[in-house]
This record gives sequence, structure tokens and C-alpha cells, in this order.
Amino acid sequence: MAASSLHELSIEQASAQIAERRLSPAEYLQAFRARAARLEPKLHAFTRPLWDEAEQSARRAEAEIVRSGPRSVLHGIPIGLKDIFDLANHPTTCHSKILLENVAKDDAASTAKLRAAGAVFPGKLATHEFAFGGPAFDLPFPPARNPWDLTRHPGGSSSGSGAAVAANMLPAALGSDTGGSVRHPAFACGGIVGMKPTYGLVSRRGVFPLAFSLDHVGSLTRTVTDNALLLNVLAGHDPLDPASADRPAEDFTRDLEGGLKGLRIGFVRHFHEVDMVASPDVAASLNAAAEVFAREGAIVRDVKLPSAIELAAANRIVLLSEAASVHEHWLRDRPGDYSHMTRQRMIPGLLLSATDYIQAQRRRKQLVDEISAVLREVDVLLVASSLDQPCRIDDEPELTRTHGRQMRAPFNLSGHPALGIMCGLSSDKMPLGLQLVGAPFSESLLYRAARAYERATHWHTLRPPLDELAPA
Amino acid sequence: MATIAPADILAARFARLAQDYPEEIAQAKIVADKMRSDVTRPSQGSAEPALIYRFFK
Repeated sequence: MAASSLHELSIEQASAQIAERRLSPAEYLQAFRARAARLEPKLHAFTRPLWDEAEQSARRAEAEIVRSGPRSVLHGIPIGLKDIFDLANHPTTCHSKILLENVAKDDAASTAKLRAAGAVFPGKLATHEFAFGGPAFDLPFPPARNPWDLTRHPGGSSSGSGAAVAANMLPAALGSDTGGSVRHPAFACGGIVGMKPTYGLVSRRGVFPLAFSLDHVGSLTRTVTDNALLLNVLAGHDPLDPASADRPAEDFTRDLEGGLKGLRIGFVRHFHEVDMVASPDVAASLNAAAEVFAREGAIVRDVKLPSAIELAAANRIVLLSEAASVHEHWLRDRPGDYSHMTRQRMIPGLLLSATDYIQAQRRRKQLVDEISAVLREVDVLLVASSLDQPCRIDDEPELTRTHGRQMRAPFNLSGHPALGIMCGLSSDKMPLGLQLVGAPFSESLLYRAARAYERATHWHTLRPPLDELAPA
Repeated sequence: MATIAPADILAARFARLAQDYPEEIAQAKIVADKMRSDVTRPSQGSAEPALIYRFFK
């Protein structure tokens, strides 16, 4: 393969070539670095590029692999970190003025697992401020752009992770997901896969919190297989994360080629047809996806969950209350150091009472039980992700209007695993996506369903038209 | 006894925020009220609060 196209290799492909010593980790990294040199000035996906350091790590990996073989499939593979994940000896800024000097002493638990597996870290990636604000221009770093249309936002809050992976500047990146922040860029940046695993499956230690009982660590990759490979490394019990689940290790790639025959899929149509109405393009893409699943052998039927509006509101009350507890002192002493969008979104949390929070947590239990009951009748839920294509990045009224028009937050509230994949193109050539949701710890089943959809469709092969947007 | 509005409590505890961003606080009150009204409050004694840390362990 020509050096100029090595960035197109998936982790699965690159790893195989590295193991056979047909590809060096340094060459693979260089391909991404060259691409980033061309695209990053337009995309702003990085808050802190670390290519030189990554190159040294890649060369060390190469020497070790020559000497004793690869440690894992991630040995020598570059992986980006949303800038709320600690990377030892580098600042974790959360894309905020408030934490510009916040140098991490240690790696986050997930960073440490990747490092132990041999991954290299080419940089920290843009996020909405504190994984919560919107794409803002009054912050120390510019907001990441959508590689499909540089005038639009890339989804968030894992905005840099989505933009970098979709633009082939990295093969994978970590993100966090408290109300949909991994799955949103998976929708908006298209052609990529975003997994929010079951609550507790991946440690959050060393990741700056947004809302303790809703925060998940997830990943963005270009293929379903790569995502499963990453989760194989990331999953596992961490006694220092109070939410961490103590479960035996599993191979999330084991069922990838299992197909859809006989799989029971519940289509949560009322979310986007009744509770909130999706754009015609989004609705059509979901109907088409349901037909693909049925054609490939799944048994697809409509199912009913609690109202998306109530699920989203309960998520919001819990999120804002918990976030306010994290930010209380800065909101009191340094309110002007936040982006105005972050501040505006945070303040309602200060107006909620302890009673509001507890009532939402009581209702939460009922809502989770209702979702779990449906997931005893079907194996997988087919659910909308965003209801609209991403708008212009500087159109604040439209950003505000569409902020809550998404169907991802219910599964932060419930903790169920949810996987975002591409399922179409809008009439204005922007990517569209869907979610697959399963019972707790059914990630391998979600990967199996998504992989079958990947085989049956061509959406995952589409790439943003970057040669037109950012010519060489 | 007079009722103290949440925004007044906020103003007392977050003086700089209240002084510098009164419009944002007014907007936030609308948002908070809407969230409250969108969530059913469980009937008395009918539901323990979620302890999500224990959900899936």
C-alpha cells in the first residue's frame, strides 16, 4: 500500500500488518501526521497535538515488536484522547480557561490501559467546554469543525474525537458520554462508530466528571470491528471507580460475524415520530435501516418505551444537579471564565432543589425498569440518534433549538449500552445515523448487529469530501 | 411566611453570577421549571431513588 494512503487502514488491518512486520508503527503514525498537517488548520480537532512524543513512542513500539512481537492488537496504534482524559505530565484542560494549567500527574485508568496495550497518543482533542457547553468561540481553543461541511458543528461534546476520526487524522479516539457525547459526533461526522458501553463497564477514573451517575467512557472508530477491539482493552473492573462493574473479561469480537437471522429488533418509532418529530431525512433513513435489518433476517417490530421527553428531562435534572455540584465553586468565584454557552447551560442546575434531584432519581428507577422490561421482549432496540442534521457552528439560536432534539440521553439515564452508526445521507449530503441499544453488558450483541448492518450497506465506506473542502 | 424563590437563593449564594448575568439566570429559571414539569413525581412511597452505582454490577 502506498505510504500516502496508509491512513485508510483500519486498526484491524494495520495491526495485522504490524504483527507480520510489513508495516511499522512509525510509518502508520506518519501517515496520520501528514494528513493532520493538511487538515487540522481547517478542522481544529486538537487542543494539544503531541506528534513528536507519539513518534518516539511509535519507534519504541517498533523496536519492541521486532524484538518480541506485539503486546496486543493496539501495539503501535495511535489513539486520540478527548481533553478531559488525564495523560500523565500533560494538561487536562477540558477546553476551558479554568483548567489551562491543570497538569495531570497520572494517566486516567483508560489511558493507562491503552498505554499498557502499546497504544501511542498523538494528542489531546477538542471538546465542548467541560464536556457540556456547545461549540463556542469565547474559549482558549477554537471549536472543532465538521469534516463534511466546515461551516457546521461536528456534534459533541466529543467533537474533536469525532472530527479527527471521521477525517482519517486518527484511526480511533476516546470520548465521554453523559447525555450522548460519543454518539452525537458518530451521527454528525458520519462513517464512524461511536460506542457508549454499559454504565460501569469502563472505568471513569482520571476523566474529568460532568455528572457522576451518567458519565460513561466510550470510543470512536471507523469500523465496528475496531470499536470491539478497543473495548476488549478498555473494559474491566477498577476498584477505584465506585461505579465500576466487577465482571469477567470477555472478547467483544466473538460474535461479530454472527449475522441478524432471528434477532428480535424493537423499533422505537414513537421517539422520533410522536414524542419529538424528526426531520424527514432522518425519519426516512431510520425506516430504510429497519428494512435492511428485516431483509437481513432480523424480526423487526415497533415497541414502546417511556416518553423521550420525560426521559430527557429526568436525565437533564440529574445531569445539571450533579454538574452543579462539580462546578459550584467556579460558578461562584469565576463565572466569567466560562464560555457564555457553558455558563448558560450550567445555571439551571443551581436552581434545582434536592427534592427535584431525588424525585428525578426516583422516577429514573421506574423509567429504567420500563426500558429493561422491553429489552426482555426484544434483543436490540433501533432508535433515532439526532433528529436534525448539524447546523452552522455559529448559529447559536439553532444550536440551542436542536440541543435537546436527540434520543441519546435516555440511555445515559438508564445505563444501557448504545452504539451509534451511520445510516444515510441527507438531501444536503450530510451524514445521518442511528443507535442500537441493548440489555446491560450486551455489547457483543450490539457489535454483531452493527457489523451485519455494515456488511449489508455502504454507509460506513463514505468519507467526508475533504479534498474539496481542504485541498492539498 | 414569605416564600423565597430559587432565583433569590441563587442570588444570595452566587452574588457575582447574579450581578453580572441576570438575563442568563432569568432564562435558567424557565429551563429549570420546564424540566420539573416534564418529569412525573412518583407517588408517595412508590419508588426508591435510583442507585445507579448498583445497577449493573
